[in-house]
Amino acid sequence: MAILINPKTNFLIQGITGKQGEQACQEMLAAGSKVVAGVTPGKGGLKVQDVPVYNSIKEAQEKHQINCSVIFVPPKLAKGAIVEAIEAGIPLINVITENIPFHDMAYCFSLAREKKALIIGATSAGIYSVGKAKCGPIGSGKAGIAFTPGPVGVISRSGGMSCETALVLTQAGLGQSTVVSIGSDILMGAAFAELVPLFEKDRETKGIVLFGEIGGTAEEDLAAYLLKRKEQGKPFKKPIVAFISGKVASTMPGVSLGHAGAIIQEGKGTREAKVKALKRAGVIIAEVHHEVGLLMKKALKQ
Amino acid sequence: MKLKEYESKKLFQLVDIPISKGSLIAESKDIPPFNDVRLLKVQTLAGGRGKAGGVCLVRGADEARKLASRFLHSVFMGEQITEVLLDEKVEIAQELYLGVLFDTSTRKPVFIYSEAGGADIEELKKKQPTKIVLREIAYHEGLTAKDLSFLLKNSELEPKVKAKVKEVMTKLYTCFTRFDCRMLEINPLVVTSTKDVVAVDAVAVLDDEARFRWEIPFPERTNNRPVTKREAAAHEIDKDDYRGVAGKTFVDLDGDIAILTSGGGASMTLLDALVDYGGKPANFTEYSGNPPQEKVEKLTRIVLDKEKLAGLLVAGVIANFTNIAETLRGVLNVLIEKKPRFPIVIRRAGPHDEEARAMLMEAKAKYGLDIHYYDEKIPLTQAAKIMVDLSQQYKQQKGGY
Repeated sequence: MAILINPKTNFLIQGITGKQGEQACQEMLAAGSKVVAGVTPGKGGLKVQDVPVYNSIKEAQEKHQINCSVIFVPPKLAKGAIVEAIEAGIPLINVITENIPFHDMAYCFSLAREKKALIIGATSAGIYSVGKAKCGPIGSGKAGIAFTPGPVGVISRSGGMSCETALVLTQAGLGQSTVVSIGSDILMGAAFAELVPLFEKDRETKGIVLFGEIGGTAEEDLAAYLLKRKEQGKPFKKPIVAFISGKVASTMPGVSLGHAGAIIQEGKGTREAKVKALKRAGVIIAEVHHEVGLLMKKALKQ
Repeated sequence: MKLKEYESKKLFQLVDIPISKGSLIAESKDIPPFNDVRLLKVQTLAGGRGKAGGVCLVRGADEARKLASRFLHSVFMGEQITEVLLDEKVEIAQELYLGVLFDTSTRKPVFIYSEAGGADIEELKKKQPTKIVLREIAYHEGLTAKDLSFLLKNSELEPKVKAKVKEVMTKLYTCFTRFDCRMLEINPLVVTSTKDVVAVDAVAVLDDEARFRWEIPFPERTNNRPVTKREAAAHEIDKDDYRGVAGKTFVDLDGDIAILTSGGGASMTLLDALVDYGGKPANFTEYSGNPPQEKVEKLTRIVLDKEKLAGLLVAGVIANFTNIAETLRGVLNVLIEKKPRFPIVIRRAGPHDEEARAMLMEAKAKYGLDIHYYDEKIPLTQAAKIMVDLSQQYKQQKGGY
């Protein structure tokens, strides 16, 4: 078991003929993922690592069943690629591309909601069901040594730190079920609140470790979800340990969103607000990042 | 990127939102003769300038010039003032508030409307929340007739004015999407004594990622305070060379441990750990994406260009692409040149890290550098602790400063 992806998942890579797309294809195949097709408009008929390339998703779907598309299309063209995947009915879309404009992602999230597609990203490093299947560049190169199969689910807003989080868990003797890099954009696809219910249902996962950051409301949204579960008499049972970075960063200058920001965010977004909300909701907070391993070990013993 | 009032109003003009008539003044002598009463408004990025005395009534050009020369080229609310706006004085019958921004919880744009606009809108949210109407917008459908009637359903405006407000709402939403705004606000939208509506003040925050399609190429600005010499130098590094990123995010801080980190999330995490363990960072900066040796060398030179440093921490996540030996050679070249006595803690792993270790160990012996090299066997934030401990020992030996 794992969440989101497993050895049976059929992957499509959009932007497979680019440098990053090709490297990810090679690594995904090596990790046991079934990459069945790639799409790059105008490059149909080519092969990348023996994977057939098509001009469009529609063409690819005539030959293959696709469960997940991973997107390596440059930022200016990413919206078109994501919309194509949503319209094609692909249920899981993992956006690796960085620097996609806010409004383009907002359009995609809105459309995805209507068509029931789940978007992970943008700015995601990928998804890794350790030892089973890998989507995107996550854990490439030497980073592979950080991951070991086991009972802890990981959700991280930082790509690099998803690997470091797996590393400190491994060093504490805890393997990982699935590691999800949800991306560092403040307007993001599926985040903590949407993913912990999947880990809850996954029998292999015994606990969840989160890497959060300042900005946005993903941490507060999770806290609200956990409190709601408590009120409904169905408290979330698996232990959650979180590290939230940004103590020093919050003292550096940023962009203020004026009155409108104050009306909507109501003080959310700071590290202080996130830690307070999560603690209230029963999440264990690690003050220094490498403590997440030992804290989870302790929580799992209880 | 946040825009000033006059810049935000340029966007309004492009979508025909009525704005108060004004002229932008960069030098007080440029104020033309006039005799009536007008408003002189300091152009700041920070909000709350009205309460800080940055919006003044002036009668006649003499008074305006006198006041303008006091604001221009001086510091107001921590900002260097380069423009004032000399605006018509609109006769106010009522002040409305209109805003659009993204709600990161729902991932949708939210339209905010209130018929009790003005400077105290945030207070109103606490005291009389029913006076503020919020409406989520389905992005791919846009602002619909249904959304508009929801926003105006409890409106107490007379029909003629209401129709005009409705029109401004539609134009504001167009402005929001067309110019890639993260946030857009009119406060107040004034209903005049002659039943017209006029945007008297405006705030816009644009999405930097969409800069390539901005219709107006507003100049880049990073933050409100003037950039320091070191920051300016660091920001230059990427300009001549597109390979990798180095120094783009350099921020001067007032501690004594120089920092060279890699990976956005890791940089924040390391800085937090350093401070938690009692250390003080001398700067924040990051390099990533496999930059060439020369770029890392330039950045290192800037990072070490500070008096009384008591340590250097070079740390980052396990690299996927970055050549650890090549990038660290850039760091080492500067260390060999400067021969600092303070401890140097390096935690890096990834391609060519064994080569990097050998190179660093050789330099350590040859030049007497106090280098401590670690790979992924030490957690990232553990390296911050080692740095702080060594730095404190170093300061004690030196008699402390």
